[in-house]
Amino acid sequence: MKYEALPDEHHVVRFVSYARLRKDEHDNVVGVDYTAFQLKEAEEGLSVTWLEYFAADRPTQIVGAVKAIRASNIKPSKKSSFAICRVSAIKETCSGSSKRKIRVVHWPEADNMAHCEIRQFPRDDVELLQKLALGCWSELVLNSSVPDGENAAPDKPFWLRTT
Amino acid sequence: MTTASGPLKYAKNFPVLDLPRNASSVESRYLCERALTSARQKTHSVGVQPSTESMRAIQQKKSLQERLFDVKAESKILTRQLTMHFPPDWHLSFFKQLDNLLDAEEWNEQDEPVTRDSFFTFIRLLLKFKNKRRPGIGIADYGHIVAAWTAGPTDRLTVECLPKDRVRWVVSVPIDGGFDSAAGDTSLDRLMASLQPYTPEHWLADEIRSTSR
Repeated sequence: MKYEALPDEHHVVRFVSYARLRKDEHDNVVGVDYTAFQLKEAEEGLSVTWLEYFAADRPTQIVGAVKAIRASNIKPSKKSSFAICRVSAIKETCSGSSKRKIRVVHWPEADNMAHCEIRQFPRDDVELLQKLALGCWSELVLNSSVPDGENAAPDKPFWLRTT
Repeated sequence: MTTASGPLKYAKNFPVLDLPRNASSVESRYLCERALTSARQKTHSVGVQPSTESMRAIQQKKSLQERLFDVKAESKILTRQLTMHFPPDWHLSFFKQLDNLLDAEEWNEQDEPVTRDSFFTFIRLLLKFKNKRRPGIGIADYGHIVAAWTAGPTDRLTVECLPKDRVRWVVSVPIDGGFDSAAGDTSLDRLMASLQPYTPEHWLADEIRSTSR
């Protein structure tokens, strides 16, 4: 099966648990840590959700992506967040720093049809992960800022991607 | 034998610690009661010691909430033993950070709780920096606790605490509208030497304060 590569101008959304948010000594959230992008041993690519999968204005796309993630096996807590990044920024940072050619591909899953994977993603290069955290994934959306309600599920296409 | 909290009583077959109720935290009493239960179970299976494999199986059977509670309790007990090395009431603010980090309501099930070995390295890191600014704390893979000092959006020191006094450090410093970064793995003893090129005092100095609390 050939997986569709995302256009460079599109964006992806990464779930960041509260424990992997960067905080100061008073527990104020000050950003995202490189730890939010560490690959687990069993993972072959970094899991993200395609923002433009949802055909709407940007705020509605963000709500769509968050609700798709909530409907998946990830259960975001109240203090968790979502980091948003442009595909081209990830590619440029990875190729500039480590000459690594990553691919961002649409990889739909049963519980999240907007799911994507970043393949050939650096596994142990913490300096590169830090550059990604600082340079690319700096837009954060708090889970608490997206209202509760029915979450998007694969059999309920509330938001449809235009072809 | 008399302990600081009272006489050590020996009941039938196993020792009992008698702690006045106002002399210990909820976590300490819980751990003592668990130790008592564990000792009681062992006396019913004389000559049988749990193997490493069965201890691991016991850990895995515990709920995530129980594991987080255990980690929180053990971490606080260890920290309590070292509070004389820190400013007064330092531990109260640090305990709030631990409560927030290890809150079962906020914990992602796919994350491994902080390991004892990582926490030992972390507490020794804090002892080395005992007169410095307290870090923000987080988690990395394998249950490694992370210490984070932030002086600006791209001005950061991050130290991931590995077992056996090993640390992974990552720095970024703003320069010419962008930022420079570096990373390394070293021992706790060598950490400050590794950080010297980046003037670590500007992250660690007490006069840096966050803009909001």
